[in-house]
This record gives sequence, structure tokens and C-alpha cells, in this order.
Amino acid sequence: MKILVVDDSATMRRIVVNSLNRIGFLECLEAGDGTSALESFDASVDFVITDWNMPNMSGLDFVRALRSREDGKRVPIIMVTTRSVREDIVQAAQAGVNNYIVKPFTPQVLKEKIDVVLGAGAA
Amino acid sequence: MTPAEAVRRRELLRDSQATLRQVESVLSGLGSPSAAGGDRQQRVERVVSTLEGRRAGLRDLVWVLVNTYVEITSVVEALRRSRGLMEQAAMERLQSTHEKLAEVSSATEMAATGMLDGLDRALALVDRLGGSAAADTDGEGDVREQLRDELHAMMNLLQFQDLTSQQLGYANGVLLDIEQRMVELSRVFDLRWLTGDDGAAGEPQPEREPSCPVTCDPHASHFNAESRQALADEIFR
Repeated sequence: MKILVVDDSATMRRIVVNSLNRIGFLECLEAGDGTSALESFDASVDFVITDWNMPNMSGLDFVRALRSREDGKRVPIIMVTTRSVREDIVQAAQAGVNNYIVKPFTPQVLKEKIDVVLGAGAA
Repeated sequence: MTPAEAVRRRELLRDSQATLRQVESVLSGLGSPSAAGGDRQQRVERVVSTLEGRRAGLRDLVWVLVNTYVEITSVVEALRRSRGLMEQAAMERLQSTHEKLAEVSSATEMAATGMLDGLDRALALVDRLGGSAAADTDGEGDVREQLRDELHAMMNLLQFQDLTSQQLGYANGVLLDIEQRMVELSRVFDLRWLTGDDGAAGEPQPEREPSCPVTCDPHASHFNAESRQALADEIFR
């Protein structure tokens, strides 16, 4: 499974990729903001993990843009962010995010949410 | 009151009113932007000469008013100087704090990257130990696995860098906001128009920076992650 990890913090990208590798997802693609993530995204990407607060294009705008593309309508998306105000979470859900993780997260939570999203897709 | 006294009082009242009107007119002329230029002493003398010939009591009043005016202009001038000093000192300190916060943010990022590199190397060493011929004797495999878990846990703790960076970004945004407000406040205290120099009046308003850049979250926190995650879970259930 190929996972696109989008975060403007290089440290966070490494941590997310490391956590993914640790739970068995070895193929990861990285992008530093929404704009480059949109450029990197293609049909070979099976899953997207994105931050919210990023320069150039925020994670929320990236999700909206991806959902408006034919090849991005169904790809599972998890948002991993510091934003934890109810309105923000609702906004993310409305934009088309499949699940939501609040930073700081643990690899266990990441695995749990990926399982939930993949399980829901399979059902 | 005798008729003579009444006449005298009416004259005195008319005289006083006329003098006060004259003083008011001269003072407003001196205070308006159009009265630019002219030495303060000259202006005082002009007021006095204009009002000369009045009764002695009213001349005293004129002197009091003119001296008050001189005091007020001195205070205005002192305010103007203080404003300049305050603006300069505050801006320098704000700018310096802003730079220090940016430096701290950059330093934590570099340190976190260095630590991640070190942890990667340590994990590689643990993997090499696992591949050696002496592997899996006396529970060494379990120890290696525990060590690997510890190293991964340490790696995960480095999320603090991202959160701290966002908090610093927010603090920086607040500083920028304060700086802008101070500039606006100093414009309020810019009393140059009172002394005839209205150079600042037409200056454009500086553009205000956003209080928090798009890359930072004012609510970023290391604490209560579980309860905040529970809220997200409730919404996505």
C-alpha cells in the first residue's frame, strides 16, 4: 500500500513515516504542502495522511481539491493535526476527511485509525 | 446697587467678554495647523501686544492664559519626544524578541533532526546486533526488541518540536500584532499638528500582519491529547 504523507514539518514527516513503517506500511511518499501533494498524487496512491496548518495550501484546501478530482474522490484520507476545536474537526469531516488524529499521536492510534478507515472501505 | 455701579458692572462684563473672545481667537490661531512656523516667544509677544491697553486685571488674566498656553505646548513637545523614544525602544525590543523566537524555533528543528538521525543510526545498530551470529542467546532478542521499542518511543516524542514550533509561531504572530498596535498608538500621540508640523498626518496606515501565520495553530498543545482525540472520535464515529 502506497501512502502519501503531507506535512510542512520535516520532523513530523519523518515521525509519521517511521510510525507507518513500524506498523507495516513501508511504501511512503512525502510532500511539504498541499500544492506539492496535489502534484504528487496519482492513481497509485492508496492512502493519504495530511497535516492541516501548512504554507501555500492548507491541508483542508488540499482535501477539498483532492475530493474535487476524479482520481481523488475515493482515496482514504486521515488528517493528523494539532487543531482540536470542534468546529475545525467538523469542517474537516465536511471537506471529506475519513478520520482525524490529534497531535501528539501514538503509532497505536495511527494504526487504529488506518484500520478503521480501511475496514469501513472494505465493508 | 446704585445706577452708576450697575453701569460700571455692565461695562466691566462687556470688556471681559470682548477680551476673552480676543484671547480665544488668538489662541486658536496659534494652535491650528495653519499657524505653522514662528517662534513661541514671538507668538506670546504677539498675543500680549494685541491685548495691551486693557484694564490691569484683564492683563493679568491674559498673562495667566498665555503662560498656560506656553506650558501646554511644552507638555505637547515633551509628549512628542517621549513618543519617539518609546516607539524606538519598544520596536527594538519587540524585533529582538521576534528574532529570538525564530532562532529558538529553528534551533529546535535542527536539534530534532539531529536526534532523529541519531535514533535512526541506533535502530540500525540494533538491527545489526539482531543479525549477528550471537543472536537470540539468553533472551537477547527480547532485550533488542525492547530497545527498539524505546528508540521508536523516543522518536515519537520528538513531535514536541512541531507543537513547540507552532506555539512559537503563534507567540511571534502576537508580537507582530502588538508591534502594529504600538505603531498605531504612537500615531494617536503624534501631536505634530499642534506645533504646526503635520508631516505625519498624511502617512499611509501600515498593513497589519495576520496575528498567527497559516502554519501555526494557536491551540496547539502537548497536554490532554486523549480528551482532544476523544472529541475527534466522537465526531467521526
